[in-house]
Order: sequence, then structure tokens, then C-alpha cells
Amino acid sequence: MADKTEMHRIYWYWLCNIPGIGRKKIERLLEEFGTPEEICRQKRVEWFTEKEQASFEESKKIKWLLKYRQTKENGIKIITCEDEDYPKRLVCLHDRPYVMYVKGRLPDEERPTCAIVGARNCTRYGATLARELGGLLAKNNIQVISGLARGIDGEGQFGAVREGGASFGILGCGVDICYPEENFKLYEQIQDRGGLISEFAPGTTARPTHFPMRNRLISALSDKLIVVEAKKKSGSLITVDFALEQGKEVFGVPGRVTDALSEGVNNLLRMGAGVLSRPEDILEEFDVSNGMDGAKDKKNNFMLAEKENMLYSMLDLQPKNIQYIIEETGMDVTAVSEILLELQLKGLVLECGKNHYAKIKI
Amino acid sequence: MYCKVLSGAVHGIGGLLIQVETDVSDGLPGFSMVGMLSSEVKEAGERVRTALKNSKYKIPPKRITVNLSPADIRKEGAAFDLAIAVAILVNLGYIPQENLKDVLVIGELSLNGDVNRVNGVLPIISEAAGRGCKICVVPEENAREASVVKGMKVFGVKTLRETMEMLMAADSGKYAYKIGRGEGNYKENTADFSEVIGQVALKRAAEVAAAGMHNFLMVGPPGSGKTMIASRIPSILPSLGFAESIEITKIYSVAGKLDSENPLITNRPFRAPHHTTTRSAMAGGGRKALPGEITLANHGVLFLDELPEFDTSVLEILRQPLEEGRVELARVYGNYSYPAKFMLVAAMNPCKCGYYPDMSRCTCSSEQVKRYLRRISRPLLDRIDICVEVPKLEFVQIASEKKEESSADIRERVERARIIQKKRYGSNVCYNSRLNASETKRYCSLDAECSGLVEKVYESMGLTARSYHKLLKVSRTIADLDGGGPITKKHVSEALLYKGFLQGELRGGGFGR
Repeated sequence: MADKTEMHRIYWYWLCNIPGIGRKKIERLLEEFGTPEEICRQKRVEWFTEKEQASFEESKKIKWLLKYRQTKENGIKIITCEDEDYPKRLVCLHDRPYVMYVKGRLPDEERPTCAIVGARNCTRYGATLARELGGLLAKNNIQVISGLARGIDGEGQFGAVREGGASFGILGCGVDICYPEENFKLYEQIQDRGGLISEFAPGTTARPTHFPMRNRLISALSDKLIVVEAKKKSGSLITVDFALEQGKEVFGVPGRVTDALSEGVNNLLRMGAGVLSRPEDILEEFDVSNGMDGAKDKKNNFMLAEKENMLYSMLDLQPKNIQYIIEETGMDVTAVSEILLELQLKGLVLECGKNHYAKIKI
Repeated sequence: MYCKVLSGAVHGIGGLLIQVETDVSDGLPGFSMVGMLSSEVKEAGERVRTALKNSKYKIPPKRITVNLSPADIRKEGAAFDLAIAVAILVNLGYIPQENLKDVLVIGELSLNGDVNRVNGVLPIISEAAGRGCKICVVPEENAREASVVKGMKVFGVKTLRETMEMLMAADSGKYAYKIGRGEGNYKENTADFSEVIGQVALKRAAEVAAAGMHNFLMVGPPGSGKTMIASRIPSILPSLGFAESIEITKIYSVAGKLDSENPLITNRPFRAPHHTTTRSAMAGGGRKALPGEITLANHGVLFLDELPEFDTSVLEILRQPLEEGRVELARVYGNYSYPAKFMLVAAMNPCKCGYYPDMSRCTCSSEQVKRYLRRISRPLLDRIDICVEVPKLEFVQIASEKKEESSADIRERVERARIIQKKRYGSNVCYNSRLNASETKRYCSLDAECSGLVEKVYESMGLTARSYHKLLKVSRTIADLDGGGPITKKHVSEALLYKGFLQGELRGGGFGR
């Protein structure tokens, strides 16, 4: 039979999973009765509606215990707000989650954490930068937090994971559901190198209302927040609001003034957010010296032949159609194709859309 | 008495010789026609009788029976009218039977005795010439068309009376027609490549496609020149050989699309069906199994503009012809196998608004883009050899005064590449695109350097066995344009440019690639 702390957990789990009883009601119940155990002992609650009362009684049946066991058997850890493991960074949130579900592990309390968020429909520029940042932070032992969403979130986490770092994804759905589907590989890798965390019970599907809620957790769990690309009215700006409320520092990566996707970030910078004009700038904020000083100089010396160098310098982080490359270099199609292929093989250039090429190293 | 006259009918896109037999005997006066006839042929009886009367030939009140043999093939059309009338006149003694030896008679009759034009004359005459026929009598409007066939004396007639006159004096030169071999409907193509500004990559891709008759897909926003280039591709294709010309002319003859003044088709066909085209219009069919767009585009270009707007079922029809160069049609009255060796050229926008992957202009969501591209099936895309994505023209380019290369110059290079291919393959396979698996292995082998290169990019570029073979064939064509030597690294690099279709995504990263 489960021990005392385990029973505690079971009661918390039960309390947070009664259909129809949301956070406000849970708060009220806790105010009135004190602990989940006490609540469970009640036969009736006067201010419950008919429906709620029925749901309340239904939930006390044995199958909830089985559901709990099932969840644990699926490898999902259940952490309550009374547990020792409960993240210290969340304790002071006024609406901290009572129960959290984790696949993998929680972020290390001792190590610094940093969140990378941004637009879903990001540009190649944003994607490359998010990856660089994620990788850089990971190399310097900083844990990367984000929402596993398509776009900047995913790119940042991918960058971290690729460099062998720890990354944590806070989800707007149950931890057993991979949303969005296309990030499945990342979903798996993060479980190994970090963890997937959610305040929503396993099996809960992603809903638009869930995302602002989980954004507050992203900012709460991180020491600093980086926004890479965001439109004027972006969801990432909600995360920024939370971060400011929670007293966290916010940084932005500037972009072209003509880019709609940089408008939100540039605005933040205007209002006083920290400027990251190079990915390495963030390391200074964490008081980490960039162990890669020498590497920066080496980076520009790729050992390229003259023609390759010329063509490489015509390229940008934003993709360029081969037609423009041909015009700007004045070479013919065959010559250009040969050089582009070489650069692709050297890992300097990516064909990110048909016949569109972009640099992938900053 | 029994008499017979040789005539012909169209069967699919070939000709079939029909023997018109008549018998005039005593008995209750009547006119009957037999031989598995369709209704328009049965009506010939009325036409012939009236035409004869109006041409001042007296028909006695006797029992006339007409048979079109062979009796187990269904006959259609009005091409037998003239032959039936002549056969009856032979029977009535107006003309001796010997005059009709080895003579083919075709034509439709008007009520007043005029002889009207008919479709499909060329295939019929071809067939007749192959069977030993020496002289043919055809409507005057079809005379030029008929004279294309070698070894046939062609007589074009305007009326029934003329026909009889001509047959009486069998080698009267009065009605004879001859057409020179070089003549035809060749027009200097006014649409020229030099009219297309910039777009070097697109033009080069078109050149490679033309040189090897590769299937070619252009993707780009509106205003990038796709339709312009497509309609100018025939201007860089090498000229037709005589055999090809005849094959095309036969097809067009059956479809009724020949110009009677210049019937021999010497320009490569360019067919651009609208995207509302139906399945039978595309593949061929209908009751008479008329050739469809793919057959009309034989030895030429089939251009599908706005590819995603085509009905999927219509596009699926293209699969077999693209593989085999033929289309098999099964109809109630027979099975037909029509040639369909066309070069497929297609154009499309990358997404609904047309601007993907230009993020500053594209207003589509990731899902919308995917949904749009999904409308074209993978198997069809796999059959495209060359695919190129082109950007919109910038103003600075439109306003530029730079002189562009003309079609004639490009065509010269294409012709040279074609000659190299012809020498290499002899008469078997004509173009690089038509090589099968073993031929590809034999003629398009890669040296160690190139093999290593392809191996490196095989995974990362998502190549498949099929796309690998296409890569080899396109490399071969590029090497042919470069003098015909062995395939080297630069040829393969360029071929890699043309493979694949909208891989990767600019939105949301897309890792794992």
C-alpha cells in the first residue's frame, strides 16, 4: 500500500482531476477544508451545483486510483506543490500549479535556466539564431526552457539538444501528447536530455486557452527570457508580460525594421529590453565567459576557394533564390550549382526551400 | 451485276480499307445497304441517290444492294458516299470496272453532287499505299493532305461529274495534285526566348529539358514568366523528322484539325488544355475514340498551366503515358493504342497566394501551404525530371536594356545535344529521358568522384531510386549540352539543382532534415 506521502499525492491528483471543478473552485475548497484529504471526506458541499456534486461523488470511485497508477506506470511523474521536488522557482507564483506532470526530469535548481521563445511562423533568420542561442546556452551549462512549439521555441530547444545540453519543454497539453506532431523527434530527445512538463493531466489535448497559461510557467521557470522573433501582436509577448510581472529580465534579438516578424521584438527593445546583437551577448548576462573566444576568429576562416568565398559572401541568413545569386555573382548556372553544392556539403549553406539558399552559420 | 470500288475508313488513328460492293438486279425497286453500318452511313443511300439524280445520272427502277466489306467491322462517317455512287455508276455501265483497279475513292456527297472534305484522309491513303494502291480520288480540299504520301497519284475532285470524267480518262493530268516534300504548315515562330527578360536559371532549365525531352515543372509566383517560357519551348525544340511529321499529321487528320491549305504539320505541336479539361478529352475517347490532348501533343509539348487546379483524376491519367509513351483506350467497338510521346511542361504557384517562400509577401499559414502542395500526387511529381523555382521579376530587371539570347541560339545548342543522343542510341531510343533502367545504367554511369558526391547527398536531399535515375538522365543531358563527354561533377551538381520539389520549409525550422 502507498505510504503517507504517496497518499498525499493521490489526494492532490484526485482533487485536480475532478471534471467540472476548475482552479477557482479548488481554491475555495482548500480555503474551506484545508487539505485534499479533508475535502475528500466530505459527503456534500453546499455550494456545489447538482452537476458538480454528481461529478464529485463519481470521482471518489476506485477508478481514479487506477488512473493514478496507470499514469505512474506510463513513466509520468506526478509532483504536487507540497513535494520537496516542486520547483523552487514556481513556489512564489500566486497561481502556481497544484499538480504537475513530468516525463523525464525537472530543471536543476542549482543550474541557471534561460527561456527562448518567439513566433511560430518564423523566418530562416530567426530559426538560425534561435538554434545558435540554444546551442550556445547548452554548451555553457545553462538549461534551456521553452514550449516545444513550432518555430522559434522548437528551434531553440533543438539547438540545445544538439549540443548535448539539457532542455525542458512546458506543454499546453498532457505530457503524453506530442503537439505539434512535426516536433516528434524533439519530443523524444527532450525526455532523455531534460524533461517534458505540464500542469495539464495526461490525455488533455492542446487548446488555444492552454497556451497563455503555460507561458507563465515558461517565464517562471527561467532566470532570463529571450525573444527572438515576434509580430506586433504575438503570443510570445504574453510570456514577456509574465516575465516582467515575475521580475525576470527580458532580452530580444533585433531584426530588420521592414520585417513584420521583428516588429514585436524591436518594440520590446525600444521599451527597454536587453539587446542581444550577437548570440554571445547572453552569456555575459549569465556571467559566463565565453569559452569559445578563439573560435569566433576561426569561424570566418573556412578554407574556401576564391570563387566559393565570393558566392558565400553574397548569401544571407535569409534565403535567396538561385536566380538572384546568379545575377549577383555573374556566373552561369552550372558554375553556381557546383559551388552551392560544395558549400552545402561543407555544412555552411542550407537549401531551405526549393532553389532557395541560406547561410546557417553566423 | 456485281461491282466493287475501294474506299477507306479511319480506325483509331490508322486507316482501314473498305470494299464497297454493289449489285443491281431485277426485282422490286429498292435501295438497301448492309455491312454493320452506323446511322450516318445508312443515310448515305439518300444522299447518293439524290446526288446521282442531280448530277443528271438516270437510275433505273431496279433493286440496288450495297455492301461495305468486311462486314464485321462497324463503319462510321460519310466518307463512303463517293465510292458508293461510283460503284453504282460502274454497275449501271457508265464506266468500266477496270478503270477502278487499284483506285481508292473517298468523299462525302452533297445533295447536289458536290464532293465535300472528310477527316482522316492521310491515314487512309497511307494504309492504301501500303497495300498496293496507286491512285486515289479525294475531295479537292483533302488533296494536298493526301499528296503527302509517297508513291500515290492524287486526284482532287469537286463534284461527282468531275469524278466520273477523271475516272474515264484515268491519267488525265487535269486533276492531279502534287505537294513538295519541304512544304508544310511551318511558320516562323514569332514567340522568341529573347522576349523573356532575365530568369537565367529558368531558361537554362528549359534548355536542358528541351535537349533531353525531359518533363519540366516550373514553380513560382504570378508574373515570373512561367507561361511565357512554356509557350516558347517549341521554338527551341529541334525540327521534326519526316516520319514524325507524318505521324502527327495523321493524328490531326483524324481529329479534323488539319488546315487544307497547309496540311503537313512540320511544327512541333503545343497543346495547352485548360484545367477544366475532362478525362476523356485528355486521354482520348468518346465513342469514336478520338485522340485526346496527350496524343495531339505527340512529339510536342503538353503544357498544364496551374497544375494544382487540374482534377486529380485527370492528372492521374498522365501516369501511364509518361512511363510508356502510349495510351491504351478500350471502347465498345475496339481497343486502340495511341502514341503519346509528349514532353510534359507544367507550371504552378507554390501556394495559394503565390509567394511562398518569400516570407515578406506570403500570407499563407504553414498548413495552407502543405494542403495546396498535397493536391499534386507524389507519383506524378516523381515523374517530373526537372523542377525549378523562380522568383518574381524585380523592376530593375524589367527596365534593363540588356540583350537576351534568342531562341535560335538556344535551339542550336539543343540540336547539337540531340545529334549526340541520336548517334549514341541509334534508332532505338531517341532521347535521354526515354532510357529505361538498364540503358540508364549503361549510358549514364558516374565516375568515382560523382558517385561519392551523390552518396553524400542521397540522404540529406531525400533522393529515392527513381529520382536517382532521373538525376542520372538529366546529368547525361547536361553533359551532352557540354559536348557529350562523360558525366563530371559539375554536370551532377547542376542536375541536383533541378531535382526535388519544395523540400524543407522556411517557416518553423523543419529539423530532422
